[in-house]
Amino acid sequence: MKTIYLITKFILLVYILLAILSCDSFVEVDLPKSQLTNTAVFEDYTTADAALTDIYANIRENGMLSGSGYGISNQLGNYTDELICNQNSTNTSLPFYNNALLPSTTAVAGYWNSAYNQIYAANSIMEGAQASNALSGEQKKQLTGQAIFIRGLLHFYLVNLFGDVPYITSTDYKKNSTASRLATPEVYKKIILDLQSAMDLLPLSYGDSQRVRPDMAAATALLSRVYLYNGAYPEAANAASSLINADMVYTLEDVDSVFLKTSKETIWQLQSGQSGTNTLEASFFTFTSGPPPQVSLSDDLVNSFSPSDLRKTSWIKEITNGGITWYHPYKYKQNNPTPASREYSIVLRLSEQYLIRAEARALQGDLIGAREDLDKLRHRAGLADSPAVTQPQILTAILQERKWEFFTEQGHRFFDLKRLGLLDSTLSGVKAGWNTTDRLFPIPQTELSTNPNLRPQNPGY
Amino acid sequence: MMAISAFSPRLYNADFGWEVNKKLEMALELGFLQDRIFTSLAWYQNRSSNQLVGIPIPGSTGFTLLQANLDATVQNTGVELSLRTLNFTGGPFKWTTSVNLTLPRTALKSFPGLESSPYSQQYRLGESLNIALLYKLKGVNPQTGIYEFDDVNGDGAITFPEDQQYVADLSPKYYGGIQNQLTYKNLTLDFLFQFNRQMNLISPIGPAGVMSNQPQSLSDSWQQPGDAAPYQLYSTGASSAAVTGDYLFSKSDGTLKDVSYIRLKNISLSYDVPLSLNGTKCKVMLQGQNLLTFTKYRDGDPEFTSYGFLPPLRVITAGVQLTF
Repeated sequence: MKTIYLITKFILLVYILLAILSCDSFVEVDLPKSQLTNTAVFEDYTTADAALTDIYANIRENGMLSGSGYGISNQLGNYTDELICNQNSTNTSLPFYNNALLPSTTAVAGYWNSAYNQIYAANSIMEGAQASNALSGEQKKQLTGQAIFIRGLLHFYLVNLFGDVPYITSTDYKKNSTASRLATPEVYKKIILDLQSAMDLLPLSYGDSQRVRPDMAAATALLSRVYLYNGAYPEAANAASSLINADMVYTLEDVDSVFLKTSKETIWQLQSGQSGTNTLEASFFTFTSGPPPQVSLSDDLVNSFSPSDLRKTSWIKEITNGGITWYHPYKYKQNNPTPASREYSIVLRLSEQYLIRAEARALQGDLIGAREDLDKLRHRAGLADSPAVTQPQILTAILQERKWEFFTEQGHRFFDLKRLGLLDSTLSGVKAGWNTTDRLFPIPQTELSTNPNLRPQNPGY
Repeated sequence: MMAISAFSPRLYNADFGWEVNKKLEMALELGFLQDRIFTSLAWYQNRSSNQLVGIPIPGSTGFTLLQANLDATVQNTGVELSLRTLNFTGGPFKWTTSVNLTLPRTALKSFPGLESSPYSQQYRLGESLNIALLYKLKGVNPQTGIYEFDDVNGDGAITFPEDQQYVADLSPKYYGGIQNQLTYKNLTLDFLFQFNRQMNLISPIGPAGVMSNQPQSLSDSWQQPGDAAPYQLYSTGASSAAVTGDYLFSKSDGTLKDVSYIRLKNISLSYDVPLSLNGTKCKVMLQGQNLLTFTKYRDGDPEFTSYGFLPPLRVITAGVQLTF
């Protein structure tokens, strides 16, 4: 009897011990079979590169650079003088059109959160590639170069919308959750460093017809813009020249072909999701009968074009309904799927480099060179030489040309007026809701609540 | 095409631990006069700490939530009281009354580092979890027609978070019900009153002036200098001052409304028709729901204050039930 009791006791003890020891395997849950851990992704170049591709897809769909109505191509068009928005109270463009953004505006938090989410992904590519033993040096350069370009690109748009912002360079959430805002010149220094690293790491050009991967040319193109915004004119002109001179790869297209996916003018574009789908820009801006469901081009913008400007005839479409005429952007023409995709969303294109160099040249006193670059774009649009002669005239003509060339493209108009200090004088007459403090977006309320280091709020909110 | 993402769906947290719940409960049941008066009294205290929750984190991390243990202790205490009395029994007239009453209390007992945590603008030590930190509305400026608020720190501007510090407790103070059943011969009357004492935040759907519906009360708005109105001027959204005023109002005690109510939730009258046929029954019924509500709340249903959805309906049903 006593032995049975002892055996029972022993078995019980073993069971209890087993139960305690095996607890770990109950607590640790394996990843679903369809997911790979971070380290596994970087065991193989194909998966690591697919992870990188996913960032481009995310940029195309979400946040500032998305061609959908939520992106800045539309919203900054509303915010400035390019677009008119339907007064429907549920229209997400309305707060932008009224220049009445609030710290709680969902779209504003969306820009912030999506950008930092994409930056997190870029940082995790860099960290993963760095730590991997399986990838070759060349492959690591490829991954790191593209990821660091993305990081610079997104911080560029963040600093232009929000002013001083944190510059995030790691995936460490403990550190990042208390990140402080960096003064704008410091943010720009880091952007320049990131873009220069991207130029060192990436090949000159991928030479494929798709142009869906940022290469050295893409980093150069963005860098020349950054230089221009910061008054570094010789550097801006040099960077622009290096692209303009690479005419084996990049040349200006006819007005009709600029936004085709095969355009030789494109430096970097975002591939559409599936073969046959076209751009989100086209599906958002296009309407076939009035009144416009969302937004339409402002009369101010449409009437500012010379009647013979090919951009007016080719990039703007007129819709007449019941005696009233509206206009929508028609740069991207395919608002429905086609057998094979015909258009991708273009982020960087060569014509900007001409206008960057024109401005940089004019500001350095090279007026002849500036006019040469300016007229290059005017001729392409079917216009005669610019009548501008003096430096101020040429600079005004360049700004005007940028307005015609880049309307509804990633907020060029807003950023130009902002960097030239012309927001108040240009917008206060046309926008009833415009205030000087609208030059910066509000920091999202959720950010100020969760990270005290981001306080105080931007002025005016 | 491989679908691989560097966007982890969530952040990895290696430091998970068990949540701790401590429960203490006491109850007393008493019956008097052969249970004609029957009471039960219960008291509970639940303390949970180290809760595993989605903690909001700044978007600059790339994410907005982190699954982690929260080093805070929350205490839920409450008293539940119920009383049933048989007022009349035995005769053709029967009357039973049941009363229940709940007095819940929630409090944040401890939260080390609350001040520097993401919750610094959400919770206060010792207060309920269901609080709101609000701006204090001073009223509408009769000259500009824009809402004005208390400048708590006196810096000349309404700033977050310094001026958004008024604590409003939104949890119910008490709630319960009283049910009565009266029977006289074949006739039965049953009715239930519900009551609830609570404050809630009710903000308009959007700024008055944009194309959307508004509560009728907003027709009493400021229109010209000198007006003393409870609501500010209408704006289509082009006036930044009005938009900001409206935004601050939505986060102020101007939206704090007393949504307490007493409501006749159910009433039913039924009559068993006396039939001489063997095994056959006939019952005639009349029922009503939400027939009467007593409340100070004027902008809709106090029980259901969300916009855009149907509140509890007032329903009246009549029926005949035949069993054979």
